[in-house]
Amino acid sequence: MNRDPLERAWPAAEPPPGFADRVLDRLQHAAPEPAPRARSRRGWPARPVRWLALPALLLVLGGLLLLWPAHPDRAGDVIAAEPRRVSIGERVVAQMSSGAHLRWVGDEVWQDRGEVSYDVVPGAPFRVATPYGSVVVLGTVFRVVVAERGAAEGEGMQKHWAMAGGAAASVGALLWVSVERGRVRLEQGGTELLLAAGQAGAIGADGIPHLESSAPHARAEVAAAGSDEPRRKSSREVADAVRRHAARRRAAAAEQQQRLGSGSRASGASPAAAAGAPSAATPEPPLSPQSERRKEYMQRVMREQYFPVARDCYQELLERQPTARGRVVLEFAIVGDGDAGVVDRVAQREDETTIEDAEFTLCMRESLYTAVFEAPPPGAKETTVVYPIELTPE
Amino acid sequence: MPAMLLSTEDPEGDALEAGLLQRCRAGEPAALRVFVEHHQRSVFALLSRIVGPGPEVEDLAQETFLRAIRALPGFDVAGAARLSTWLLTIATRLALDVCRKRARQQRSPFTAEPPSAATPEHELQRAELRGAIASAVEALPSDQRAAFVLAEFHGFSIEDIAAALQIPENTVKTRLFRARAKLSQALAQHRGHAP
Repeated sequence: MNRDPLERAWPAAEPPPGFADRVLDRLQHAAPEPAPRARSRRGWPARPVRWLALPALLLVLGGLLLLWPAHPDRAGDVIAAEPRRVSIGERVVAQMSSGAHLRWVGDEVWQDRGEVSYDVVPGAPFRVATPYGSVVVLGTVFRVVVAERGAAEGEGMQKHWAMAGGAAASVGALLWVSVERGRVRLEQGGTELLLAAGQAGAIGADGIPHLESSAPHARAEVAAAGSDEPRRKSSREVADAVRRHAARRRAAAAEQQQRLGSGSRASGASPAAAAGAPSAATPEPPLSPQSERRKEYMQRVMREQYFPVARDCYQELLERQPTARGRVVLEFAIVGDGDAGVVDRVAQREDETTIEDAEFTLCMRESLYTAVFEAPPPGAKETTVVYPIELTPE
Repeated sequence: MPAMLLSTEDPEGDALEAGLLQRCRAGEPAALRVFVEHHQRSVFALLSRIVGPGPEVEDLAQETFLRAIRALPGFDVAGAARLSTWLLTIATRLALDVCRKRARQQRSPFTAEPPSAATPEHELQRAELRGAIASAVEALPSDQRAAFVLAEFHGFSIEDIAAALQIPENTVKTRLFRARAKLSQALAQHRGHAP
């Protein structure tokens, strides 16, 4: 593309006079710790009143720790008596809610309990360890809520979570993570879960990372759950659960590969297409719970990441052929790319694709490269997916 | 592809970065001023092209430099990322954050200024071209716009863009393909209508 017309037609803003002065001025005055805020982040709920009942000793200790130097420290140990912000090293700012406990040395952070939002300047890896699993930062802004030790054995855990986390949807969740921007990886034992922006994940009493819903109805459910908290398991029980989960994952992956190899679908469900939009459609044999979860995951990623772009392809087709409708069946591989699974080798199944428009099918195939999935299971080189899509005009 | 403003391939820029870094890390105000003044044009250019014109550009530029200066001690000189690339990566992520917030509020700063009837002919043509570009730019999703700006105006490689936007390289290629196609179409249409 010729840039000259672009540069002339798309002028850039120039720095105004005194810009550097203003930056240096802010730098000079930004060092002191900001005053604690009643709310840690816009839209977050205030801490529940029950925190006021924390032992007096904790409040005294927290009060003392508020006197901790405001400038970034290589190491620190802070219990927040009220919402506050701390700098961890040079590139991490943590917004702590009341009662949260953080310790850190360099970039290694231990979050013992409570709710903390992290804003991380991209760079070297950053990890938050908790009693229930680790969160490895691949992105920039995320939130971690950790239950108090032993709290799962007590009463009203879910109620506390609903109030404290605001979106801790899972009954029995001990560690809950939501990602606002970028990506993080939730780890426990040998099991990992990659979370992208807008997603949430949790680790419950079984020690297995899983995706979470943060829908309001889920919160209500949590709030209403009362004291039905399952007993927190011992380390050995957690380890056993993780091993069982890993075995189930391997079995599910093998089953999935076998099914894909025999040409069956990795996706599909909606029998009817939404008007004017692509939708997954397919027939399907009964699936195991693992395969069902995998299928739901695929559908969600496709719906969230691929369908918006694919809809543009279809709209462009409708401009050329206003009554165009039919099916496109795409076959693609998901290969590991670091911590993510990226799309590779997209093809359309000619014998099953009923829309014959080269520009449209090219657009559909090219657009699929924008989707990012979980990496293939450990040991699997790639995952092959066959995804049928029904398209009907409005 | 030749880069505009502060090129990432500019050897003079290299020398300046290497010399500045130590003094900036020590918090020396004079060095920090040179650092800001050296990079401010590229940061403003990037931000204004991603978020559009307006007072937010300076706010974001200040935030970019503040974050960068605080994180400078952790910047790996021997690493793959150049200082300018790293700085623009921070700016890009801040800009995209603003774009996402705007998308939720459904507002856009990209507006095509209607040409005035009293404008001389060549100014009229330029205004029309700006209008065509503004419309095409506004239609681009912010992620495509960011990839395009980084590639076309700041000389970022596919790999650099992938790192900056935290997306796979294939996704970068797709976004660039789509952005270029849409903007080329807008330019072609403008040429077709130009007298």
